[in-house]
Amino acid sequence: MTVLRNELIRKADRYIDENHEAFAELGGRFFEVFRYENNRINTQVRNLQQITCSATRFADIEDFVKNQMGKEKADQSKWRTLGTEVLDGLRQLRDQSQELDNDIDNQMALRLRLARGWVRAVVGEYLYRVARDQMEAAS
Amino acid sequence: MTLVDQLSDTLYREQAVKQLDRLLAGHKELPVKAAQIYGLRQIARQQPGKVKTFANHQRERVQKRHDKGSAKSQAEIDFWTLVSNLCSEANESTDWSVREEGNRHLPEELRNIPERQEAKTNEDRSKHNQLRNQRREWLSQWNNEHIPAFFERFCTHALYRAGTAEKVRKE
Repeated sequence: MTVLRNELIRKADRYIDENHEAFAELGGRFFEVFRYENNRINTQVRNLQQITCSATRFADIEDFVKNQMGKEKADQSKWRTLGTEVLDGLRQLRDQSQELDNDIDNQMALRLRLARGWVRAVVGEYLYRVARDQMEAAS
Repeated sequence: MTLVDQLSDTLYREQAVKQLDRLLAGHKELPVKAAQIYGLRQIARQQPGKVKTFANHQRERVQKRHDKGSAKSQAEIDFWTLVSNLCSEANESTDWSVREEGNRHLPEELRNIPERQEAKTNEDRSKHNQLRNQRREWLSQWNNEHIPAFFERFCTHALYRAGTAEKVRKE
């Protein structure tokens, strides 16, 4: 795995911070579409988080979304509602990695770092919305 | 980062989308069943050297079917021809293939092997055979690594297109 220079890490982190609001908005959409069951995080949201954190190729994350959209089960129809937005978000991260550096190895490492920041913001907002919903239901 | 990681994340993803979208332009749906795509992916993962044979076999089955000549069967034939071409040397009907990509990455010493007729001595002929065997071995290794990587992207995009087409039909 390529070790990114500090300067590139800072640029990537700045991009994540500057776009946190847009990422969180997508997290809200995840909550609206996938909701949660029995006080537990939806499996699809957890799967997206896991694949994003463990992928060694950014395209594997894109493929996860495409695969879910291509299936025909109940949760997959939800993916068809939200998948295009997710793929657009991922494409922006891919474009951003190309803007940040010209070296292909750095780009690959950068987009994985961006994706991990992105998914933290998305799932963070989703979990916040779940907690808020549970608190409202309890009061 | 290995070369296969790099290509899988860049060129293979782009080519999978480009080749399929070009084929599907004008079609409302994927001309083959999802189960066939899962089958193709499975073969690419487990027996990468058999993908071309599998695609040719599928195409021949369609050609023998009773509805040959219909638009649907022609689209299906085109699909399997594309799959086969993506595993072949360049020809007039394809501008890119995994095999051609392999040729581009061949080590220098295996690129321009002189013709056998040019080998005058036994030693030259033996050297020629050795290089040809090395090239065959190298390309076979390339296919074993790169066919699964490419068809992972290709099959996912095909299933994605099938899924989004269904969404469009329902709307």
